[in-house]
Amino acid sequence: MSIVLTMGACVGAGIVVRILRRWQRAGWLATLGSVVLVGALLAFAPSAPMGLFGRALALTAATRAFLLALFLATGALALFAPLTFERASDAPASVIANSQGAFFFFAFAPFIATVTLESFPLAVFAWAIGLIVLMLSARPQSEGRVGGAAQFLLLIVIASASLLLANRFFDLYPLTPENLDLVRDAAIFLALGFGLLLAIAPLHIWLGPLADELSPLGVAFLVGVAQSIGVWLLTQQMSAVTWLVPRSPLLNALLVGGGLTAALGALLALAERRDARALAYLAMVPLGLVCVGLGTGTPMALAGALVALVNRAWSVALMAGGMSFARHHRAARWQLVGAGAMLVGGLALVGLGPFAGLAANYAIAREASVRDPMLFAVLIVAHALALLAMLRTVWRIVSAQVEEEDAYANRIVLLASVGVVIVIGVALVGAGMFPQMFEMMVGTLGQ
Amino acid sequence: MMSLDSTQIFSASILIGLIVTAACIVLFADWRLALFALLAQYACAAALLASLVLMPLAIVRVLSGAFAAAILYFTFRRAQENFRRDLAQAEDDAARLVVARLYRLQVFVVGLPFRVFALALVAVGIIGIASSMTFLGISSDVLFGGLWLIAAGVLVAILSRDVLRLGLGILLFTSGFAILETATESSLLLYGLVNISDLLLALVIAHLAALPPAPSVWRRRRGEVR
Repeated sequence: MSIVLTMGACVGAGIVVRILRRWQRAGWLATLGSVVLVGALLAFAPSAPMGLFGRALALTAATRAFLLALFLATGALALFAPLTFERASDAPASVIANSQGAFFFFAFAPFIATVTLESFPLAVFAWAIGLIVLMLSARPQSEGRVGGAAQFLLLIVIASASLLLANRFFDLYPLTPENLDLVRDAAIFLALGFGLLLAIAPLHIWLGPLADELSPLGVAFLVGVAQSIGVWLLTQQMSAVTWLVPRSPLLNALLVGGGLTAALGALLALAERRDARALAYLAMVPLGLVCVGLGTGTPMALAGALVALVNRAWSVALMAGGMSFARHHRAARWQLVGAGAMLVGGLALVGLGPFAGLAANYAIAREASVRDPMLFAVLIVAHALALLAMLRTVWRIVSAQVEEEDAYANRIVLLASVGVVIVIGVALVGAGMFPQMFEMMVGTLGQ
Repeated sequence: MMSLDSTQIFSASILIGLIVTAACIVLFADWRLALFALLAQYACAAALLASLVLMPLAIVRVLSGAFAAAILYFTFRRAQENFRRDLAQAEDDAARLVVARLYRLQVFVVGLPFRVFALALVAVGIIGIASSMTFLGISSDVLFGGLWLIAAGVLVAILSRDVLRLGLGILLFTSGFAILETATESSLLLYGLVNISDLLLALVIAHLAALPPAPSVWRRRRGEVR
């Protein structure tokens, strides 16, 4: 019952944050309380599987660790949301800006089901529902016109359909093992479904238009949390359908797609001046690395891929928080906090410094260099370009003209948000210095 | 001369209904007609589903379609009321022209001749696929119905400039997929989730369509770093 209770608590937290959206301090405190409550429920929920409509929901040690890691990113994003507070009114822009945290809680509830459900089609449904709910926080650029969010809705539906069809082939193949067409079709539908929603090149073209209609925090939730849930689903399915990997070119597709994603993400980030888009493209670089890690198929690289996934979620959350500071609070000290958060987040994202990304990158790069030196070179260049893109964005904030603070900026909320930046920064460094903290999460994958 | 039994006539009329309703959504810009066609499409799809599941379950599809159509109807009507209100408040012809330009968006990105041509190509393609190949043991009429709605949905989504019309395309797609899914999976839970997701999609589409455009400050804040 506890898993359902945790999902209910997520929805309840979203409702409370939404109701308190007019009061910045009360909203922040409610968000903090919700983060503590849902985090505690996730941490202490019993592991015994429970049945729901004839399907099992199980919170194993690995799923618990993974969910807690992603919930840290979700909580941080929800706590950063009051930084974008606008003067309270009933205008849709103000309502959406002031209740962004609520959408993160609403979307996280189905993601808990995605990770804990032991049925692939239902997990796909839950993932799609979470993504659809997230689109409620989007703001179209022109009234009534088709924009990135509306197009993404179509892609969610197409990708979910592909994954459900792939599942049908998974069910059928063991009945007729001589029919290798089923393996090919399953791999094609699986690659299409996950490729679309994970924005793996060349299926990433929706990412830019969608980023224009989401805030940087929304983009960070999409790429950091929602896509990580998708990668987890992919790894679980690859583990469940053991015949798929040796009989289909799925691993090679992951290697090629990963290299391409990292390279294109870095190039696009370097050319981009819009912050939400830049964040989305920067996040493609570690996603490429994760795909390469999965594609090599060795236990070390697989473990590195999962650690890189968590590191990516935390670092994009930190960068999005930094962007929110820099964008919405023009006083010199908050600009410096924003630039600092972006710098630390960016370094963690590319795997430089004492962060979890360094250990993950090392594990994956070592396997990639042995398997394909050219791919290794592409990854190194992509990360170097991503570092340049990140440094340029930070420099732009540092060198910008300082302005007066907005009259309605709440000092307590700002200071508390600095605390959240410090917590995420410490988590990134702690995970880098003690990567064994991920042992529980990657342990089952190795099996 | 080949004789047709009542089952074949019934099946053929359902497929013709699906073709006509989807074609109306692709070809006609009027939102009332398109919404009515969507509702009729749900009824035809439910009739097709009745050959795969029990009748009461098939009727659930019509109900979820009716709810989705109702959500979209109120959004369409509100957009039209906003247009009329702003037009009445406009002080001169120039202002009225600006309001008209703002609201009277083209529903599709291409004209009627291209849409007719595109629809004909899609129809020929789907007839070719459904008559020449098998897919997971699905009967040819069910396969045609599902594929036709999926293809028409994608076509509507590609050709739409209006977000509500794109929403109709997405609902066509899910309707087609629901037919294929129900034909291949016997899970009632999945069937129920497909119906619920239709409602959720209609809600999000209505939400996106009802939001006013982002003001320049918002766009600057969300867009450029400096």
